[in-house]
Amino acid sequence: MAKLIDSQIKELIIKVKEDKTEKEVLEEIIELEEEQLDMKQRRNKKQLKKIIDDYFKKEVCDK
Amino acid sequence: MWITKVSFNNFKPYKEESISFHNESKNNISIIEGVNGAGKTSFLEGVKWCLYEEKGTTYSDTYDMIYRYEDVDEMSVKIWFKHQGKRYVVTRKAVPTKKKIAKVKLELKKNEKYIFENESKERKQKVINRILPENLHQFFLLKGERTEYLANNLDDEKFKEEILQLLGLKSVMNGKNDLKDKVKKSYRKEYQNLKAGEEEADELIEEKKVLVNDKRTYIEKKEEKEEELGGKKTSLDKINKKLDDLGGIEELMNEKDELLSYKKDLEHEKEEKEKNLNKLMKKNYLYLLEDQISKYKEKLEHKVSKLQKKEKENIKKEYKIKLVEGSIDDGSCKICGQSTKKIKTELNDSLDRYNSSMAGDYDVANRLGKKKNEFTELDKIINKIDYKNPVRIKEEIDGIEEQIDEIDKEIKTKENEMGSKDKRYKTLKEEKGKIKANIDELEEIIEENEKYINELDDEIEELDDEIDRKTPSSREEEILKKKIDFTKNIVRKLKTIEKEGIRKKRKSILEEMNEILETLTDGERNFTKIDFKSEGSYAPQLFTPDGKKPNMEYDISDGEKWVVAYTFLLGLNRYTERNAPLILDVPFSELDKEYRENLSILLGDLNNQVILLVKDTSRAAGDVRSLLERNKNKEMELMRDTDKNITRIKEVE
Repeated sequence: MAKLIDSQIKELIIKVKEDKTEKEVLEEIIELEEEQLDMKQRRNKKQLKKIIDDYFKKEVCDK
Repeated sequence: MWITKVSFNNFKPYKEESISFHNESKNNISIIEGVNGAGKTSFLEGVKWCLYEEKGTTYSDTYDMIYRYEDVDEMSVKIWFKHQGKRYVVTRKAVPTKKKIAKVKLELKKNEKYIFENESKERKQKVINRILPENLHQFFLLKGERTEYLANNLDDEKFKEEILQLLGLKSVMNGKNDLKDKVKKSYRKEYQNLKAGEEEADELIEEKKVLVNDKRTYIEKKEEKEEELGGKKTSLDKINKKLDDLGGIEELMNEKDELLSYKKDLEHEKEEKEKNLNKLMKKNYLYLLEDQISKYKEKLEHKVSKLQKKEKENIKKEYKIKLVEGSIDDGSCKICGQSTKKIKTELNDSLDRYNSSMAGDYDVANRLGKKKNEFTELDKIINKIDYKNPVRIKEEIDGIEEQIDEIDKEIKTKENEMGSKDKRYKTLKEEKGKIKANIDELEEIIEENEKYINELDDEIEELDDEIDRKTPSSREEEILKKKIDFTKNIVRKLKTIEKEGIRKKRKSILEEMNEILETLTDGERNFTKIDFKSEGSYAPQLFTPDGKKPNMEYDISDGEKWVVAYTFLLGLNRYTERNAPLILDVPFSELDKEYRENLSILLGDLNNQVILLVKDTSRAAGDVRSLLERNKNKEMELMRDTDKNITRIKEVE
């Protein structure tokens, strides 16, 4: 798998992150978008929602 | 990405040629020399066709790219390259038919193994695009004239998007927009649905209230009827007790009823018998005339006897007549045989006497016959008279009447025995019947109410389920709200990353560009600074030493435009992490010697693989050869064989 996120963007993510999971969410979103850049029709709403939903599931499980 | 080999098969001027490059990032510059028409641009187009099936600006169809001087079975370009430690081989093949291409095939190998071998061309193309996106290759694989075009058009929205992608920011921007436009909206819609569900649930609760009220009414009605039923049952018990108290009255009544029933049967039987007797009597009417008939019979017998006597006498007389007549006719007596001649007269007198006595009696036999017949008929009639049955029947009727009288007596006895108890019994029985009917009716009403209550219970249960489904749990609502807030937060952060990223990268690119501009111009030229035209724009703007901004289209020379383009491209390339090969077609043609030298130094400093397609050593690259030599990877010469109409690639030692 090609390196998807620019290292400088990664740095910025670390800078704006609040917690580890949130950082992961940001990375996952950017990676998904990066993967979909070459697609003529992007169908990532479901996948994006899944990232957020999974985060919340984890949140619920953790708490 | 580092290209290690390119091979051509029947592609444009190349029959079967290949070029290999060393895999050394230190020596990053390869030079491919060739005169006009030798195949420099074809090399670049071959790379683009192989990677993206790009037909180039000159050709409208892949078919036009096939080696044209003889019929070929197949055209192909193959590129070997390394990327992030992996070895890739891309092969694109085209099979020509008459003036068209039957099919273009793409093969992809990763670390010597075919990947997505049986899958679509698009699936394989996606892998290539992941390494170097198709829309970004124009910043790496450049024809000379394209360089100037880039410099003048970097303000286009399309370019802006591509630059953002190259800088790794487009995904951040898309993420921000998608989250904002799609995901957040979707959660909001879910939330609205949840709220709508809540409203629906409220409506259902109201509906449920009506049903619960109905149910209560039915329950009240049922309870009321149950109470009434209780009362009726008590009354029934009382009546039953009273009936029990009347003791054997029921038995007596039954016996009486049986007697009455028996009497009725007898009466019926008597009636039937009377009918029968009547019928029989009608049929035997002669029975009533029996005396007359008997008298007549006697009379008739007398007459018959008389006639029989007379008949006997007549027979005698006839015998005598016959004797006399015979005696007269024979002249002798029929008895004694004596002559009768002498007594003929006396005989004739006797004959007359006999005949006269016979007169009027000749039909005696006839009359006797008639009377006998009449007698026979009369006998038949008399015989027909049924003397026995009517008598028997009459006797039976009398017997029945006697029985009826007996029964009447018995009934009377029973009635005397029962006194007025039977009336009381009957009244109680009637009352009991009515109460029982009431009880049945009440039980039916109660059952019906129970049925309604059960139905309402089912409906209420269904409504409860529906209400549960529609009523958002506070947890659900809370999570959805959190998701919306979280999405907003992520959007905000992506916006910060995008904004900060753009700011930082633009600043860094500008720093690189200014450094490159200084290197390219030795700091002695007309332009001391380069910037972007405006915020959000990637179009370069030069500044004169006195701070003026020349018009980038009209106030600067063509050579200077090339300088600006290279400044931007190299600045961008230094900064981007794509690290794709830079293939530059005639990069030096518009540049002064000083610029060529400085560009050569800058290219040598890049981490990217650089392949320079140059015209000839004397004009384009000759005077910078020594500089290029420092980082030389490979040098090739494109040899045009005009007799055979082919270009050969020859490695220069």
